[in-house]
Amino acid sequence: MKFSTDTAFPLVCHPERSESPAQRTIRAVEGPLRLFPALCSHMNRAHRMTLAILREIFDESAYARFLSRHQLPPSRASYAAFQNEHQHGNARRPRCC
Amino acid sequence: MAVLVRQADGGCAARSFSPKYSPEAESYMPKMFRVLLWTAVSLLGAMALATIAFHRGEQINAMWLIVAAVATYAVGYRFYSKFIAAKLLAIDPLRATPAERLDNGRDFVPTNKWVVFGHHFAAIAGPGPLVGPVLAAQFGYLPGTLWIIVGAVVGGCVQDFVILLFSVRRDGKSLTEMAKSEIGKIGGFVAYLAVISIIIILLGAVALIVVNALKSSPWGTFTIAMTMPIAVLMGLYLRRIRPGKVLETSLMGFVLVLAAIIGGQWVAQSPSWAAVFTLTAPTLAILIIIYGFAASALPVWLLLAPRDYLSTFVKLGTICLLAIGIVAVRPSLHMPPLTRFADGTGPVFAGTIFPFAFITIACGAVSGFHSLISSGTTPKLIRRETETRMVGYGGMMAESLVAVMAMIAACVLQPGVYFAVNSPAGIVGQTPDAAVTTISNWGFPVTAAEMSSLAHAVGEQTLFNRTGGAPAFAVGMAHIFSSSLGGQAVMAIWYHFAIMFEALFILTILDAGTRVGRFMVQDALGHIWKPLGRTSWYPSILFTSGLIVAAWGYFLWQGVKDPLGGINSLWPLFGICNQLLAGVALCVATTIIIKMGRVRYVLVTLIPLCWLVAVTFIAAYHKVLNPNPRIGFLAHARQLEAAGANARLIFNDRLDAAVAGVLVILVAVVLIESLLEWVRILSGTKVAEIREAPFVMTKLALEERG
Repeated sequence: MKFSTDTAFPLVCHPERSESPAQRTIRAVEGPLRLFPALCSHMNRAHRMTLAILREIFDESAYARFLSRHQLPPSRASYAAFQNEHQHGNARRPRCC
Repeated sequence: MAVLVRQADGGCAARSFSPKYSPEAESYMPKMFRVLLWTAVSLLGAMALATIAFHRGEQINAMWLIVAAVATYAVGYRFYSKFIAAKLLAIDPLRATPAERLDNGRDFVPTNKWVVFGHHFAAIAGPGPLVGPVLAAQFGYLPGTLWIIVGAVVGGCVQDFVILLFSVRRDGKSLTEMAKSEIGKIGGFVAYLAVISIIIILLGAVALIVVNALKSSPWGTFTIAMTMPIAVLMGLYLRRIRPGKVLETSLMGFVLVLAAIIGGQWVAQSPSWAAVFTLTAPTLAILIIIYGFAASALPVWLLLAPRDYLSTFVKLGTICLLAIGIVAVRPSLHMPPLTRFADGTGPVFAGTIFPFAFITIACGAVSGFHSLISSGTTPKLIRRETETRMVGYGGMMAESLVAVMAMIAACVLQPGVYFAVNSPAGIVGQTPDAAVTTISNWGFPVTAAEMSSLAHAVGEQTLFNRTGGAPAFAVGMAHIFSSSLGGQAVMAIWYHFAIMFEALFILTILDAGTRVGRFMVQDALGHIWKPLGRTSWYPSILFTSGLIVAAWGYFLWQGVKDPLGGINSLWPLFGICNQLLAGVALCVATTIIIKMGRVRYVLVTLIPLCWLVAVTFIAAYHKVLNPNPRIGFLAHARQLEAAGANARLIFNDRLDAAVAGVLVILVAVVLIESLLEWVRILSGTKVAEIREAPFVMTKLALEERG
């Protein structure tokens, strides 16, 4: 039970009784439809997060940070410089059995 | 949750701050519902644990193991890790982490917690949690599974979590540096020795697994051999054609590796090519030693880095696939909960459940090696102290789940098949008929025809005596996958995919480990003669690479030549080393806890420490002094001596005994030094002084609050 807000007087109305069958159908699908953008947004966030994790694991983010730190454009020379800088740290990074 | 927060006047006060811990955040879910939910999860976990512990006679479904593990992890994370975070560590959401304070965009970078979690998991997950449970399955599924679940929640996750937090509070210091500053110089020295010993023995043990997996297997050898030119191609592609596009390059490499797996079938069926790639164990050992040396001396970008990327890509993908396969197929476990080998007469490795099951499964339950990662790159990326719980405790839980899946992969096999694959010829007999007779007489029926048909299905000539754990895991994984994806027709592809996946893992650890070991040796030798410490001086590179490769190559060679199947002695030795390092890490953690004035909660680290000390010291005692020649190194040496065997084999046994003995003595020294420090602090003869970085207020908390 809810108060209607589109009239000047607050009326107590029963949606099941006042709605036409078409409106009822619309109402029935409205809920899931409203959920869809939310679901898409969650999936989009999960996708972006997964990509960010992979980019970090595979050093793509480290390369992007290197470019922005040194204000370099992406190029072979920049990547070679990045690898040389990271060679020392990466080779010392322990990996578990 | 209440946390201790530093006040402006330098004092501390307990308060709730972070939205994550605030009662308001928790009130989103009605309290009654939360209580009911956690009661249900706890009951489900208890029921699943009771099912796997008390069910006898009939096979149980693998899902019971998954449910028991997931429910226990959930309860452990929700309650135990939260208790540790609040009461023991007093995690401070206002305190800036080194990633924020020392942010240099290179080593110290404040990073999203999920990204750090993925990064940390990719670093801690290796072949260890896959191989250890497969070997320990000889006792049945019960001891190993219980140890993996309970050991992780009470020991491994706690170790990873507290070491990560302590490192975060010390500017990302390594375990050896923390041992030196908190326990004393001897602590630091022993930690250093333990680390280098683990690296050497680990490399020897895992290289032996690759040798056992690839010997007389042209398909597997071809596929693994092809990963090397593929890695070089990836390196050149990354450097010259698409600089920086690592994900794209890794995907390309993965497709090429899949092509190499499929091509391997053709190689195995071609008489001329099959002859080229059918190699004996000694030949494979020599090739792997040469590879290790080359990988350590070649530029990182050419071979090591692309292999690392490829291996990580395959690892993450395969772990996800394995989880999906187990949940989709829900296979039954054919292995009984306990086998007759609980008495220590097991063919896979000798020794009773206590202590050897707890030594064999290290990485899935408690692994000292993790403390190196928790005090390595991870603390330099953590954005907030509150996130250490999810990364440290949660990361180890994920690793432990991988170990449970490996246990399932081993136990879905018929026990007769499992023992035929995993038992060395020296125990079950040289011929297939002798092996099946021995194994069937143990009460695990298997026939030569059954083994031949299985070998044919996976594209191998034989599956007898394929020790080391990798082939048994591959057969189990192929069995699970072929039941859900592609059926029996593609079983051979799945088997070789699993072999490739483990060998790729292990070779990545070999080349990276050799390099890490080389740097450690260079650092140490630099104190004796400065030029040897220069990491880019080629004579030093060649000399120290040669030293490290010779050290693990010796253990590999010894394993290949050992008539009892080298993994028998090498894996327990590695397990002892790894758990001893965990002992050192827990000594450091306990010392810091006492210095922090939190003695009332010291049992959190003291109980796992006592357990590990008991397990490792008793295991080391048995490995050195047990009169059974299959267990004790010295008894085996005496037996060989009496039989007039090769002097080198006798020397090997004595060397193994000496290594185990020296490591135990070194860790005993750390333990005694720590104990003395605890007594001094608790008796008031010494002022407890912790060496945390000074408190700096975080700016990230305010940013997050908008």
